[in-house]
Parts: sequence; structure tokens; C-alpha cells
Amino acid sequence: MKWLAQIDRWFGTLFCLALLAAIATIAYWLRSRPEPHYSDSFASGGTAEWHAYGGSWDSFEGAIRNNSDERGAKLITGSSEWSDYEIEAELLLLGPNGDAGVIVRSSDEEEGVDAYSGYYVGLRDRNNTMVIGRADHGWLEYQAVSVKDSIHAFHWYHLKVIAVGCVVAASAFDPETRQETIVAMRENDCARTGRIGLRSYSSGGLWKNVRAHPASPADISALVARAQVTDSPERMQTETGFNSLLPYSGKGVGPTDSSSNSPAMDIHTPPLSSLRFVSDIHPFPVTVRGSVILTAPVLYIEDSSGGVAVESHGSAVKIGDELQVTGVVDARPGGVMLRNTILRLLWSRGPAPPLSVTASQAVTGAFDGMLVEIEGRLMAKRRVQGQSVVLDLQSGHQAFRAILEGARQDLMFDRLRPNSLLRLRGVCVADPAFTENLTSFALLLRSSEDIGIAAGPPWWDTRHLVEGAFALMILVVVAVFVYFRAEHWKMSAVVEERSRMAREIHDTLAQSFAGIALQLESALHGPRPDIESAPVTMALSMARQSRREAHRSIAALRTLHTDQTLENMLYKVLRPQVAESHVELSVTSKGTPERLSGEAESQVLRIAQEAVANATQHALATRIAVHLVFDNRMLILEIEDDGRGFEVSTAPGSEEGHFGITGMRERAASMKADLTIQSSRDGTRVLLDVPIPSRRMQLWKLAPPWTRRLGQPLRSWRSH
Amino acid sequence: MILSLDQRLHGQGRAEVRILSKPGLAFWLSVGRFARCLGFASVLCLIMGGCRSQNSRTIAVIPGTTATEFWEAAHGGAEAAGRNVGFRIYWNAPTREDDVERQIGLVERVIDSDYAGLVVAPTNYLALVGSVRQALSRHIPTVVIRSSLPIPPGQGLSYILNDDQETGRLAATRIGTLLSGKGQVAVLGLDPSGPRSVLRARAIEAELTKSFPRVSVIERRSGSSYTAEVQEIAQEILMDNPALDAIVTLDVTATEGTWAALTALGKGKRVKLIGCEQEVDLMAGIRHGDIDSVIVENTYEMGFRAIQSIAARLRGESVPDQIELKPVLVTKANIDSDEVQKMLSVNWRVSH
Repeated sequence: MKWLAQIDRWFGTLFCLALLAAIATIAYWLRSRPEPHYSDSFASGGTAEWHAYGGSWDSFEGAIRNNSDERGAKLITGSSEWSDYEIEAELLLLGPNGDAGVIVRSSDEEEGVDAYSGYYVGLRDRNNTMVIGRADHGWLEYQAVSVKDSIHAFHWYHLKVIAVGCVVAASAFDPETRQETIVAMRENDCARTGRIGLRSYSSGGLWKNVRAHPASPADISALVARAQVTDSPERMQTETGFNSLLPYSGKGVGPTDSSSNSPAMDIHTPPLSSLRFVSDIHPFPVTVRGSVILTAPVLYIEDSSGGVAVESHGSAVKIGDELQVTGVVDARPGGVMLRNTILRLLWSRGPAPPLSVTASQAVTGAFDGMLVEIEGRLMAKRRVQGQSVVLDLQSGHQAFRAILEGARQDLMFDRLRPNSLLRLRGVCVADPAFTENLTSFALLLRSSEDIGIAAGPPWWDTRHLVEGAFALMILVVVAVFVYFRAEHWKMSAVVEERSRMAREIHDTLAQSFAGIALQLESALHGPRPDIESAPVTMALSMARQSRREAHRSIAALRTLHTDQTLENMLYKVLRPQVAESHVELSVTSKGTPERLSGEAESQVLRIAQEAVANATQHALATRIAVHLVFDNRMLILEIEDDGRGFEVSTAPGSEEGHFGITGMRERAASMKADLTIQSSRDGTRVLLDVPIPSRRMQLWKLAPPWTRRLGQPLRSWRSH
Repeated sequence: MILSLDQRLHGQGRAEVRILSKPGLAFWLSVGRFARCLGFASVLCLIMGGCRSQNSRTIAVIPGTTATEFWEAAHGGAEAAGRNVGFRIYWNAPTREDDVERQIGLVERVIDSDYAGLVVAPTNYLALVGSVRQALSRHIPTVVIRSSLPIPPGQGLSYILNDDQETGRLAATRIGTLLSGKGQVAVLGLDPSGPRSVLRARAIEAELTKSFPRVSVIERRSGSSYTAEVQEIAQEILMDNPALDAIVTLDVTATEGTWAALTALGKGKRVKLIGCEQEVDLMAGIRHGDIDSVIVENTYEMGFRAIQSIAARLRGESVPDQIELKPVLVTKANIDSDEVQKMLSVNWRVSH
């Protein structure tokens, strides 16, 4: 029936598991889902709740700006459990040939053009359309609706996106023309929950008054009623469908002016590095080209030869824009600046990758005005007038600083810990306005995304060392406790077994010997004179001897106890043997007491018992001295008496029915000990040399001495 | 008597074992608890392993960029093949065609994430060598698509390439036919960082020399990742060579820039434009006669066969070391054919 019980147990376990799973499932479904709610914090400069995937994001006049041409740059916030909601934002494109918009129900985000799962609604100034589609690490465009009066860069639009159920709809409203454009889509196997986000493709963008709140079916119905809902992206995903839906405008890509009186495009321009050698005695205007690598606090452009600062007069350019700049060269010791400039936006390109250099290379000035990547260890950080963050860094023997102005500094500042190894991307400048002549160069960072933590601070700081030591201490305490606990279990078992054996011996053998002895005494002193007395006397003697042996065994078994030293145990065992005589017994110990195994201690006790029995019964000793010496992994037991002694070589052996000395030798051999018996008329000396196993010693010595005190409560507890 | 007692005592080792189990009821209970904890931890590990094994049933495809439609057909091919062979597809790429660093980062992430296989279209001939070799050393089956790397195939690596020689031959034949065997041609879009454009340019010149010796290549210019920059170069070529009859562009950006230059200078009808590599926008140019033709690469088949190849390799089957796919010359005459439309599709969710 054992198997039935086992089956019952299994069913019981399964039932409990099923119950737990059911409770967990119900709890999951009944838990309060987060309400989609977001209220713009850009106005107050707060951006910490947003996570950037590409781009160069910063707070700008109460709005959030992606000042980069990076394709598919995203800024995400909210909960992945937000379900049906509406998001509104004011949106402005920062350049031509791109798009910008809003993401809803986003999840699984990473850097990449369409590297997220969700829905995107955007305004595309490349072909003047409002688009809606599904992104899932790939783009499926459901609708591209032409916008009346075109989409213009640097023009605000009001964008509203509603996602309810599997329908996503959006409207774009132009406050100037009062024109509204609506797009809508429906997906069968749709993404039902996700975060909100801002995204731009190539154009960069500016968003403000971003708000999200729950939406109802009525909200989306009102919008969908004014639009055609597209159920499938298939038409837009074929060449025929795509080209038949969009009006053909030929190819008109070309330079775009950013100033009303911009000069003509100049194909042949000098490299930027050559501006260092322009004389400022007779300043004359030069025209150069370069890619924007920094817009604030100073506009910097670079080409493959070098970089220069440009007096920008607040021109709306963004990182990655290719500019043609005409201006007067101001070659200063801290770098070159073009003043009195006229800017011409040639085209928008993606942000240039930085050059990876060391601090030692950067101090030479060869990379002045260029976008570089440098590693350095953070020595200190501070905020300056709440406007910028200054990081003091060290790389080898070179010290430098990194300056981040405005751009989402709240996000990074708290995360940066001194002694971290940072990988920084920024424009290398030697301008004393930034270095304050304290360092050879400074890095002007574009955004908080330019700060990468290559490695945290070393783990061996003071706090970690203290924590480690504390943890180690706890581990040692636990280890010691476990060790004592295991020892306790083991010794409890041994003690209990020995007690049981002692009871058995007492109740069987000892009682039997007592009975036999009683019967033999009766026979010897009884009324039958025909009984030969010698054998009976012999049998009586042997029965008494056996009874004493049995009692000694009982005493030995009951005495063995882990708490007691061997000296105490010897005294407890031997004392009863001499109790009824006038023998003087002394037990002494020398050296640091050490424990033997339970088996070995038992053997030592039995050998001592035998020696003392021989001394009292046969040698008629009046004084017995037992000495214990612990010395150099050896236990020496010496038992001396002042009895009459005996001839060791002729002592009767087991073949003659005497097992005492033979037994002592066998016990000594079982624990690899040496037994020596010396006897003369003046007494007998028994010497036992017992090796103490090193294993036990080492294990015990592993624990610091103070830990031995930890066993005290355990011993007290066990004694109860 | 003593001996017998000794014998009994001597047997206490066995008794000890037996007795230990008695006071150790709590011990065994605690052992049981430990075993249950171990079991629970094992179940957790299995669950976590199951999560991790999602990647082990996913093949990563890292094209040159996801910012253009060029690779969307490959995406469709990979998804279709993935469904057939029971693998998920992870699809991501740099936001720029020349962002080698980002592509290396993506490949390294794939290597560290226990994916079943890797398909990569290298943006640079040399830069990806280390990463691909690392993938191979981790026994990740790898297929390099479109253009080769200086690593011999085998040991987990195979190539599915575009036949760039054929691309060059198709372009040369088209030019020779259009110009009736006589004229001046410029080649724009050479990229010294990889062999692809050089191979195409050489094939064009070789074929022209062989079949149309009176057609001469008078300009060979490098391109750029930026349309407007190429437009300037093309305008310069056009202004410097007023008798130019045709321009062959070796990549999408070069074609777009040259198209814009021809439009800007009003030379669209006079100078024939033959492009290499497809983009949906360019097809509109063919339809309206601004572009004569575009030589289209079969990227759908690249994606499809790459996934099939990895699945076969994982099954222990042998796969060809290298496959070269033939490009197709798309003109107004054949643009609506099923074959061309399939190669131009960007609907990566629909199986073909």
C-alpha cells in the first residue's frame, strides 16, 4: 500500500501546485493595471523618465528636441501595460527630407530605424504625407495620406493619436491653415499594450505639450468616422501600389538655404584644417564646408581634416547637417572660429561617427574642434549654476574635463559614480572658456547619450570591503553553526545508540551474570556437600568477573559524551571501579586537550578500565595514577600502580581463558596505538601512545578560536 | 565475553549509521526540503532556459541598413523561409549604410546571445572579418549575403552573393544597345572600401571593350552615402562633359543623386541613366522615363536561401559554399512582371 500513499502524496502536491497557479493567474488578471497617464514635464526641463534609443535629445525652450538627423531615433516612456489611450503633442520638424511623429503601444525597443514593436504616426515632409503603420523590427506602412498645403519644416502641428482595441487612428492639425488630416488603420493580430514614444527619421524634431490619457471606443469612433480605415499594408508594400498611390514629383533633392541671402553653392572649398594658417592681420571671408557635430553651447562643424567653431546667431541647424559657411577667420590660441558667418544648409546627413583617440593624443591639439571618443576615469562631478554638468576625468597622466550643457543632464548625473571608467563622445576643444586653463582640453558633449559607462568603480572600495567582511563573518558564523549542528546530530546518534546498548547489556548480560553468580553461590554454600567446590568456585569467579566487565561496559557506554574531556570521562569510568576498595585513584592531564574520534576514545577508556581492574583485582595496588598527556598530535595515556606486579612475558593469554591483556593489545592495534606494559615487584606501568588524526585537528583549527565559544549555546541547548 | 562485547561494539559503525537516521528525522526532512528547493530551482532554470532557448530558435539577419527599402525583400525572403523551417527571424541593422561600427556591434550582440544562426550583409569588406570569425569560432552557422568577405567558405560559413560581373555585363549591354554601339559613358559610385563596385565597373568596361568597342568610359568617380553629395559630383561630371551620353551608377545613392542632377540640369532626356541596386522611388523614375533602367539584385532570394542554408546546416546537411544569384535588368518593359515585382516587394510579412 506504500505506492498508494505515494500516489496520494503526488496528487496532493499537484493539487497544491494547481491551486497556487490558479491563485496566481487570478491575481494577475485582477491586479490593478496602470492607467495610461502622462503629463508633459519638458516645460520644467524634466526628461529623466524618457529613455533614448539613438538621436541627440535635449530640453529646448520648454520642449524636447532631437537635434540629430539620425534615422529612426526614438525617445520612449510609459508602461508596457498601457492599453487603450490617446496621446497628443505639438510637433515641429527640424529639417527637410524626413519625418517625425509619435509612437504608441511600443515594446521591445532598441536602436535601429524600425527596431521596436508598435505603431507609428508621422508627418513626412519628403513627400508631404501623413503616415501610419506598424513597426515590428521592420516597417509596414498602412496609409500615407497627402497633407493639404504641404508639410513644412519649422512649423508647428498638433498631432493626436488614439489606440483602442486593434484600431489606431490619428489626426494632424495645422493651427495656421486650420487643415486637419486623418489616418487610421486596423490590425487583426494587433499589439494591445505598450509605451508611448517620440520618433524622428532624418529630419530631427521638436515636441512639446506631450500628454497621454485613457481613451474609450467613443473617442476613436469619432475620429474613425471621418477617415478610411486600412486593414492591410499590402498595397503600400508593393512597388506598384506604393508608386500608384503617391504623386510623382521626380527627383528634386538638393541644397536648401537656411538664410535668405545665402551665397551660391561652392563646390571647391578649402579643408577646415587649413584655416589655422589663415592670417588674421588682413582678415577676409572664406567659404568652407563641414558637417555639424555640435550645436550648443557653440556650433562646431568638421570635415575629414579638422573642425572649427562657427558663430551661428541662433541658426536652426542640427547635428549631421552639412553646411557651407562663409565667414571671417578668427584664429585664436584655443582654436579657430568663423565669425560674421552666412550659413547655407547643403543637405542633411546622419551624425558622423567619432574618432577614437586617447587623452594623450587629444592633448596634442591635433583633434581640436573634432568629434572624438575618449575613455577616462571619473574623478569628480559637479553642476554649474544648474545649467551644465562638469565631469573631471583622468586618463593615464592626462586630466581633462567633459561639459554637458542642458541636455538631459538629470538623467545621467546621479548614475555617474566616482572612479567609474567612462567612454565619452564629444567635441575636443582647447578653448580656455571651457578648460579654464586647468586642463589641456575639454570635451563638449552633445547629449547624455554621449556618456557611456565602460566599467563601474572598482569593487574594492571601503564600503564594499566592509560589506564583504561582514558577509564573510556571517558566512563563517553560519558555517560554524552548521558544523556544530552536524556534529550534534552525529554525536546524538552515537550517544543514543550507546545508551541503548548499555541498557541492553544491563538488562540482559549483567542481569544474567548476577543470576548465574547467585545460583553458583547457592550451590557452593548450599546443603549438598557432594558438589565439587573447585569448578563451581571457578565458575562463580568467572561469572562475577563477567558481571564486572558488563558493568564496566555499561559505564563506558554511558560515560562517552562529547562535552566531556577525556580526563573527566576517565575519572567517571574508573572511579566506580575503585569505589569499594581503599585504592587511591588520581587522574591528571597535561597539554591542550584534544578530541579523538568516539571510537578511539571508547578504546582508550576500555584499556584504562582493564588496566585499573588488573591493578585492583590482581596486583592489590593501593595507589593508581592515570596520566594523560596531549603532545604533538599524540595522546599518551600512562597508568601506574604500586601493586605487586606480574611477569609480563608469562601472563596468561586468551588461550587460557584470560582476555584482559590480549584485549588491551587488540584495542590498541585497532586505533594504531602502541601499548607497552612494564611490571616489576614495585608496580606496573601501562603506556599507551595514541596518534591523533590530523584531519580532525585541521578542521577544528580552521575556525578562529572565538568561534568555539559559539558552540556554548548549542551545548547548553543539547544538555537540556 | 569481552570479545563478544567488543565484536558488538566494533559493529557500532554499522549501528551508528542505522541510529543516525533515527535522530536525523529532522535531518532527512531538511534534506527533503533541500531536495524540493533544488527541484524548484531546477524548474526555474528550465523556465529560464526556455526563455533563453527562444534565441536558440531564432536566426539573426543583419543587413547593411534598415533605413532604405533595398533590404526589405531580403527581410521578406528570410521571414518566409523562417516560417518554412520553424525559426524566428531577428532583423536589425545600422541606420546608415556606412555605419560599420554599429553593424559590428549588432553582430557581436548576436554572437553573445546564443542565436541559432547569423546572416549578415557586410557594409565593409574588411571590418566584419573579426566578428564573423568570432561567430564561426562559437559554432554559429553564418551566411554572408550580397558581397563576400576575405574568409574562405566552409566550417559553418557560406556565401550567397549577387553576381556583380553579371551586373556589369547587363549594364554594358544595355548601354551599348541604347547608344547603338557608340558614345561616351561615365561610371559613378565607385567605393574603394569593397570589391563590389570595382567588380561591376571592371565588368562594364570589359564587356564594352569586348562587344561595343566604340563606347568609351570617360569618367570614373567615387560616390557617397548622401544623395545631395552625389548630385554635386554628377553635376560636375555633366558640366565637364557636355557630350556625355550615359551614366552608369553603381549604387542606389549614386542613382538618386545622378537622377537629381539630370533633373536639375534638364538633361534627363539627353543622358541615359542606368542604375544598379533597387529602391522603390527609382522604379517611379523608370515608369516616367527619367531613368532608363535599374539592375535589380535578387535580395528576396538571398534572404530566403540564407535561412534555408542555416537550417540545413543545423540539421547536419551539407550546403553549397557559395551561390551567386543573377541580377535582373528592369526597364519600363518588364517592371510589372511577377518576377520583378517579387524582387521589389517590401512586404516582409507576406509569404511568397
